[in-house]
Amino acid sequence: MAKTYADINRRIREGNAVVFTADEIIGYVEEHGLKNAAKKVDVVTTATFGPMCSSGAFLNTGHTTPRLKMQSATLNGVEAYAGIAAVDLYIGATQMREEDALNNPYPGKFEYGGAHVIQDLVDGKAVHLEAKAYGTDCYPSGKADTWLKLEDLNEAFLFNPRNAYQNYNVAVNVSDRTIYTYMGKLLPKMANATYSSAGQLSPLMNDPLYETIGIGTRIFLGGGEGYIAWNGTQHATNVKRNSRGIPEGGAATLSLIGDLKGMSSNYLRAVSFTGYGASLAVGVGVPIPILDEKVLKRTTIKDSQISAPIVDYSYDYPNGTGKTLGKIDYESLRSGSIKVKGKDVPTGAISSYYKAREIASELKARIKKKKFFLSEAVQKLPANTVFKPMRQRGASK
Amino acid sequence: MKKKVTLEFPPEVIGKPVVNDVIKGYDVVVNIFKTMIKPNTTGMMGVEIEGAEKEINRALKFLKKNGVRVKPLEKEITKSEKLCTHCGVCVSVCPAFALSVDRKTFRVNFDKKKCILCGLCVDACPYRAINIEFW
Repeated sequence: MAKTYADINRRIREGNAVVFTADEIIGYVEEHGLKNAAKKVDVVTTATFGPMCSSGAFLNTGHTTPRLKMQSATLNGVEAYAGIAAVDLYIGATQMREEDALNNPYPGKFEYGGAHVIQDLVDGKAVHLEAKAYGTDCYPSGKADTWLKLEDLNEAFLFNPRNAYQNYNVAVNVSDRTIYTYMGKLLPKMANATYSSAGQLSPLMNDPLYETIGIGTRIFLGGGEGYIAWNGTQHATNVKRNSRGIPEGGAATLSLIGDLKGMSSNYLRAVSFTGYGASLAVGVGVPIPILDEKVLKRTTIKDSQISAPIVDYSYDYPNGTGKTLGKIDYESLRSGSIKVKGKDVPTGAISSYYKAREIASELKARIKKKKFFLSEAVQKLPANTVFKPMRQRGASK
Repeated sequence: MKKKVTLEFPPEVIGKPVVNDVIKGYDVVVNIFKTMIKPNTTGMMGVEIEGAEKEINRALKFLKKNGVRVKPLEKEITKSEKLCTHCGVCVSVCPAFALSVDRKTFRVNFDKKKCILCGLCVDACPYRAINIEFW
């Protein structure tokens, strides 16, 4: 018989919930069979940890006396968007310090950006706010200059427009020079390949048709708790899928929200990609309620059953040719070496499987300790969407 | 010619202006690129000495005579356990297999003995967990 969310939460409250991580569940179902396992298991925890550029935080600094309506603001020299109400700011992960050398000289180091400001706040460090204003009758002050800690802020919440991509490219470089990309450093002549998915542990790989993960789902975010706020940007569901419904490339995405005050830099970490920019590594954990056999079956997906497209980042990606050099499964990618066009290519991951496992285990522990309860989605994610290129109107090339 | 060396200054030598004596007394150019000298401990200085080979050797002999230990320049790659998230992006650029992923624990291990000090991994690490140190 099918379980309900209420059944599962009751079992969590009673301390009887049976919880597995998405990699543990594979062996468990193989041993006990789908039918028996579905009766017994309540929750499967999924997770991912990796750089997710489309991330940032809303901050409310509180008011000065006399009041100030910020027109522009920087935090440790990084511009925060002030084009919202008087003392609300949005600090984006990839914004660089105003004096940063960027990519001149190339490749730039990108040592300090918005992601670093967010990590400094989470680490309890004071950050330097400098704000300018034009002054109004109700907000007469012209500037603010102070040091703020996370505890000083009224609200500070992460609001990431696009996280937890359902599958992603494998990046290679067929050119004759080293290139520096958001997929890391790619050596010439396909001397290495990088990939970025937790595969069999990844949230949307375990619910490929968005049957339980939806708007309103409570999640583990950056060490604290958060929610799925919306589908992510570039959410594309009308893509090629394999027989298990797994997309063969980038597909659905999630927009996530959560209180920065409960987070930790163990699960929310600033990164600097040489030659590319700053980004924020985000730890995300999503529980899947085992309502029935069908839901459980989806969570038994293995790395060998998920494949990703191999894409050249020296020409095909930047020029959007849509060409691929074939596809490869995650078991092969995780083995450390793959074959591309007859060549052995060493692989490296951008997302950390080690951290993903740690997060899935941590979420499992919280559920078992009755510290985390499941929420039913209030609305399903859109399931009939495409990702369009920019429409170019006006002057021709 | 140019020669890169590490100079070690035992505590009793730190007070002596030996580097100045080298610059003044020998026909060499001394370019200091790293120093670490603290009171009462052995100080370290990484220098590049430029000049005729004979003159460089005379200068180094003078330093040795004054108690400075002269060593060929050494590089060392270090990986911070605190900063490393074990993603493994460094593993794919390491030609010496010094960086590897343990397929059971999925931790990234660094075997210093295999490292050839090429430095390819340093700017490949987005967490800045890998550093190259000269000594």
